[in-house]
Amino acid sequence: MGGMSAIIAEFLAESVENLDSVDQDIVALERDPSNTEVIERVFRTIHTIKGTCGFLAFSKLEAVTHSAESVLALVRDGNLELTPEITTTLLKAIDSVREILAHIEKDETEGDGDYSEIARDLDAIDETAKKGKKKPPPRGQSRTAKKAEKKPKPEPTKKTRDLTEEVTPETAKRDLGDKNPPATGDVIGPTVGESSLRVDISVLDRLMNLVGELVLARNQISQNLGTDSNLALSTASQRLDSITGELQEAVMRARMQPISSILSTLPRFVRDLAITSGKELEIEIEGQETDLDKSVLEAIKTSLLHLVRNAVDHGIEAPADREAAGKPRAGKIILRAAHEGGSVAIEVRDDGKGLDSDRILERAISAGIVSPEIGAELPRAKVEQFVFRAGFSTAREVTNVSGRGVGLDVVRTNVESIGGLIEMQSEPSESTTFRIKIPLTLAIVSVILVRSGGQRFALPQASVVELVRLGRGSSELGIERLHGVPVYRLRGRLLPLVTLSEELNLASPDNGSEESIIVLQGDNRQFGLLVDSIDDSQEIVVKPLGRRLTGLPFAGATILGDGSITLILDVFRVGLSAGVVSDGRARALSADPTLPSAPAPGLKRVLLLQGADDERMALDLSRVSRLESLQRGRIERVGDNLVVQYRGEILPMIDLQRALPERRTSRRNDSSQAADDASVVICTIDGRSCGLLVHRILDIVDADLSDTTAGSRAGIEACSVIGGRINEIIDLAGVIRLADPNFFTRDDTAEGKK
Amino acid sequence: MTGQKQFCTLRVADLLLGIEVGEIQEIIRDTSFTPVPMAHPAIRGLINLRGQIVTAIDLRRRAGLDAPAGGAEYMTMVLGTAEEPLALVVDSVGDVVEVAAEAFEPPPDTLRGEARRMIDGAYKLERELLLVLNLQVVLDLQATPAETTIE
Repeated sequence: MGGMSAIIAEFLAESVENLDSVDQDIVALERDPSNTEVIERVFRTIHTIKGTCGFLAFSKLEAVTHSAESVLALVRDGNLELTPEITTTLLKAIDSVREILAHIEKDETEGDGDYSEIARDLDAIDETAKKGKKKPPPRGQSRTAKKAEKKPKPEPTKKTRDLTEEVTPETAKRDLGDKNPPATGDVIGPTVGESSLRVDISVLDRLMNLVGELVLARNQISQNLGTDSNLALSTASQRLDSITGELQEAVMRARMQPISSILSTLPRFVRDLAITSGKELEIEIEGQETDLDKSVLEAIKTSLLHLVRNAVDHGIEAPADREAAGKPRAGKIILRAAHEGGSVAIEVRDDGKGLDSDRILERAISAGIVSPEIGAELPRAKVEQFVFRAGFSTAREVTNVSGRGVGLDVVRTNVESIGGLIEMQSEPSESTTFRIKIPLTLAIVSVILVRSGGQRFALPQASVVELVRLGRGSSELGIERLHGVPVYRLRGRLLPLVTLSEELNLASPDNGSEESIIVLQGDNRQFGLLVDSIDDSQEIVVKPLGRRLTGLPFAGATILGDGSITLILDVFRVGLSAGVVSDGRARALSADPTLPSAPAPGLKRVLLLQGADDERMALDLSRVSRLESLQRGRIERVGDNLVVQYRGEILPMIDLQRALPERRTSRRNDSSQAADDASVVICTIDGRSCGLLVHRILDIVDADLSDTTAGSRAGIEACSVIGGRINEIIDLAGVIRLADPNFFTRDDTAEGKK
Repeated sequence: MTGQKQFCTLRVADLLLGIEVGEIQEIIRDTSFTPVPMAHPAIRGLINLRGQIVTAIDLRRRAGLDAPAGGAEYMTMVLGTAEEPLALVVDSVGDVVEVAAEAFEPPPDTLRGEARRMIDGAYKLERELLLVLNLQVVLDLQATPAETTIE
């Protein structure tokens, strides 16, 4: 907007602002045509734009606004009923005006768009109305006088409002977000001019930055003061402290905008959705005055629109279905915003059919997210969480509205990227509610400081679920390996772990110095971050990183009280690059969040194994004490038996593939030897431990083993279908006997050495 | 005399380099860097310049030269004209010299590799050659993947 003249800039700012309320007003007017206040306001806005653009020589804009003004004049004077068609045409005209304004903002021209059609449409309405009326109103002759006499009782027009017929006047009130009934109150008063002024966002941004600096300087002073006991100085410092705090608060307030600034488009948006989807809709907005930092508002705007769209497409039923279910024909969407402590909660609720958990499960199974067995046992709430998966859609067909599968996962990513949370709750055939919880501001966040590989990092508190402290030499304490991924058993659930120093390629002085696990939430999945220590929690000011540091797993940097710089970790990206967030391997592990802590009655938790020829085997998990990945070189041969030195013991090893009797005549392709690391299942039986060398560990699942057929070879207890495939259920004792007939009778070396 | 140009001289290894005075905001000693893991190897780290976070690029590493001996002295030149706060870490900073614009010559052929791309040309001073850095190339880390800078 560099060289734009001040007049045009002013004209644009004012017009765009007014147009937002015009949309809302026109929709409200359709429902309650008798509201003269509203029609006056719309008329005034259009009239002002027309007047100014005539002066600035924007002829296209003038033509459109002129035609729109004529139609509005008819409506205002009660000579034209506002039918849905006319409303739509008017809204289209408003869109054209917006489009032209956007063009003007870009290059100060009106652009190449042809708007004569919309002007013609408007003129046609104008003509018909004038012809239809016996006595066309003497236009322009006595506008004010006319208004004065019309005001008390304009003819209420009822006949043609079929689309929103059931809408009571009170809906209009909600639209306008004011407690006053629209018929009497001055809803969005045009008289705020004297007490407010327009400030460029960049000015506020700069203020915010400066306050951030001040906060840092204050931190530095108060930290250095500790050693000095100068009373006057410390009193001054305390004062500085409180003033800085207040200033920070005040500047933050200045950047706040009521959420209504992004919700003003909603009534119009819902109306358009109602027309395209053929459903009848009402929207109710509560807590419009709830204010939020502008940058946060911008960040959630599209997400909110998406949730509303989602409610219309997936939640609310067709009018006939609703009637059959004993509900009012019009579906209702309630959007509620409220402050909740240091954050803001926004709720989008529809009274539609709720989530179809069977369909979701069906889709989840066919998409391979969950196996049918596990899925069948999942509680409803867990199944519903699948809608947050990428590419997940249950819409039977792709509609204009939604169903392309890029949906809720994007919403969730957006919300989480600004440190927010999203939850969902659904009552079958009653309602679906999405709840978003977001921080008030992005500029100042609370973090915990951690140390890893000799460096300090900050982690946003919002993504931290819990902290777990391990003892010294943690690498042996409760950390296991599954598929080569370290995991931690946290209250019976497997938590995939990421070692921060490894992930950041930091030279760790001694490996296994990690003492703490930070349980993080990213991409709807939890993972643990292994760090050396957890230092402190602090409120920090986020500073962006330069362009040369993009693409790294950092969300920004901050300056701490001692003047040192600390990088702020981007939790999601750390998880992503470590592969625990969306990698296929993590998907297999993702049974964890969905796997209840104990198997459901009648089910048995088993470890699924894959043989060298892709055959499947299952082992009772209660026999398994650990899963390890050992270097092949460590496996030694003593006589006929394999052993490995494991935690100061000699552990007998059994190669599962070799122990089981061969059923095939052709040579097995022994690819398991190729890998450097061997997957070993450490089992305990009869108080003795042994390592089972397996080809690959696949997963841990809860399986129904009641329906089995007898095993066809020695060492196999039975066969059962798990996850759509036949699994041989290993008879552990049998396998051991096959490999080492003396295992259970020997006063064996391993025990003897202990 | 079409004009005089003023260059701030600096040394990296055995090279005498020059940056136009107008490009430089300030020169600081004894900075501590916060390393940025996984970043481009030429990035020495971040420095705190009165509350502003500045990305520091190590000119030695950028030019693919050997790292100096441990504990060697260095100086940091904060650049004033870049679109974001940036600094160059060099071995030492010398005087400001004034040269006649006409005395400009193409860079000597003896320069090789990445260092060659980073030099716009040279001015003959009394005793040695002043090589003029092309800041655009120096600061553009994207164009040169990390591997090529290390010869």
